[in-house]
Amino acid sequence: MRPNLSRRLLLLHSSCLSMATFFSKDVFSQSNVDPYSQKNLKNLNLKSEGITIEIPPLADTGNSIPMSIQIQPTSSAKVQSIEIIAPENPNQMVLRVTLPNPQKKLKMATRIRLALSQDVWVVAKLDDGTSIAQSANCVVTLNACFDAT
Amino acid sequence: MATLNQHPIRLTVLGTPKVAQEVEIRVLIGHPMETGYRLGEGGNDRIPKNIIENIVIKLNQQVLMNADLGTGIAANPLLSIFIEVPKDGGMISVEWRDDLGKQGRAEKMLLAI
Amino acid sequence: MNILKCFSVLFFLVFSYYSPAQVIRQSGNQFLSSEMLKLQNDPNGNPTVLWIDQGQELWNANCAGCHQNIKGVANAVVRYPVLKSKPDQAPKIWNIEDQIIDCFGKISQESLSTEHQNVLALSILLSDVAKGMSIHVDEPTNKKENQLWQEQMSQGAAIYTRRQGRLNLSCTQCHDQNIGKNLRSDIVSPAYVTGFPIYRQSWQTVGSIDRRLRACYSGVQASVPSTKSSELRALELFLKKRSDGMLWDGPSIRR
Repeated sequence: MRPNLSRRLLLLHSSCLSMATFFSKDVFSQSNVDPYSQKNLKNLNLKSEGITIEIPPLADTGNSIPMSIQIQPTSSAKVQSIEIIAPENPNQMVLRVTLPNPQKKLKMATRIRLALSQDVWVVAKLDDGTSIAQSANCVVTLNACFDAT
Repeated sequence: MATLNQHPIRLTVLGTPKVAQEVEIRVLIGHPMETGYRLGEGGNDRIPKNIIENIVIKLNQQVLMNADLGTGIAANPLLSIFIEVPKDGGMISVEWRDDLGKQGRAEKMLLAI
Repeated sequence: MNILKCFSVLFFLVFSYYSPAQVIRQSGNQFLSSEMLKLQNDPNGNPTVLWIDQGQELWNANCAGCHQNIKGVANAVVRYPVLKSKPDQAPKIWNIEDQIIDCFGKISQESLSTEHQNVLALSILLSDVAKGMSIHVDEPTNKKENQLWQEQMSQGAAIYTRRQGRLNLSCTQCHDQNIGKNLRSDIVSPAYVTGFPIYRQSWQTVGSIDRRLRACYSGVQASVPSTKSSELRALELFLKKRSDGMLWDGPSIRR
C-alpha cells in the first residue's frame, strides 16, 4: 500500500514541530534542568560578603590553576561546608569540603582544572541554614602547538 | 626492583608553628587524577577514569576537613588548609582514597613553639 | 655542500658562544609566567618533588650499594649525552635516561622506556642533585670516537637548521630568531637544555627530553621520530653542547 504522506502533509508537520520547539524553548533550555549553570547560580542571589577567592585572572593552563579561598561569614554563623563549582566543566562539582565541626573561618587552597574560560563559583553553607556565594573569572589559555606524544 | 610507592605523598606544615599563629597544612599526592575523557595512544580509546575521591585531614584524630574531589581537581592534587596552631600542637594525619580502591596516608607531628 | 653548510653553521654557533660579544643565554625558567615561576621555586608545591621522593627511594634500594657518592653520579647529568658503545653494539649517543635504563638492565631483564616512571624518578633525582652544576659536554679524546661524535653533532646542527613539517619551520627560526615573541599565549624561549626532565602541565606528568623533542616535531606537524631514535639523540647532543657553560636548573615545570 502506498505510504499516506504527501509532500503537503510533511511540510505541515515539520513546520508545526519547529514552532513547537521554538515556543517550548524553555523546556529544553539548559538553565532549567542544570542547577549549577551560571544563570541559576546568579539567580540564587546569594550574598557574597565574607568570601574571598584568589585565582589568576589569566591562567597558563587549564590543567592546573591555583585557587585559594577564605570564608569568614560576616554574621555570627559558622561555615559548615563549601563547594567549588565550575559551570562550564563536564563535571561541574570540582570540590566539596565538609567541616564536621563548623568553624568561624575557613581558609584553604587547591589546584583546579578548567575546561574553558569561565566564572568559578564558591558556595558556602553556614550552620544557620543560609548560604553565601562568590564567583571569580578565570581566562584559560591553551598551548600554542599540538602535542602528539 | 624495590616495590615503589605508586602514589607518593608529601605532608608539610608551612609557617612558624607559634601557638595561635596561622600555619598551612599542605598535602601533595602523586596521582594522575585521570578524568576518563582523555584519549590514549592512537587517539581511539579513552584512558579509564581514576581519581582520588576523598581526602581527610585530621588533627589529633579530629577531622579538620573532609574533602570530596571531582575530576576538576588538577593532577597530582594539592590541598591545603590554614589553621591556628593549638596550644599543645598535635599529630596531623591525612588519608586519601581513590575510585579504584587505592588508599594512602601520611602523618606529621605539629610541635607548637 | 650540505656538510659544508652544517659545519659552517656549527662553527658559527659554537664560535658565537665563545666570542667576546656574547649573547646572554637565558634558561627557559626566565620565560615562565610569574605564577609558574612561583610554582617552580616552591619546594612543597612543585609536583616534581614527588618524583624526587620516589627517586630517592629507588636510589637507596638499588643504586646506593655501588654508587656511594650521588653527587659524582649526578655529574653525568651535565656531561651527557656521550658517545658510548657496548660489546655487542656500535657506538651511539647515549643520554642520561639511556644510561639509567642500562643500569636498570643490570638488575632486571626489561628494556624500559625513557618515560617509565622509575627511569624518570631517578633522572629527576639526579637532575635535582646536579642543580647549579655547570654544563660541560666534552668531545671524545680518541680520534675515531671524536670523528663519530662530530658526525652526530653536525647531524644535530642540520636538524636544527632545516625546515620541516607542514608548518615548514626550522628550530632556529623560532628559537634563535624569535626569542621572546608570542606564539599565541606561549612565549618562545631560546630552548637551552638546562632543566630536564620536566613536569609539563599539558602532559600532567613528568617527561624526558626525548618526549619533549618529539613534541617539538609534532608542534611543527612533522613526522615524529620514534623514541630513542638516533635522530633525537643527535639533536639532543647539539642542543646540550649549545648550552655548554650554562648552569643546570634541575627538574623544571613547563606549560
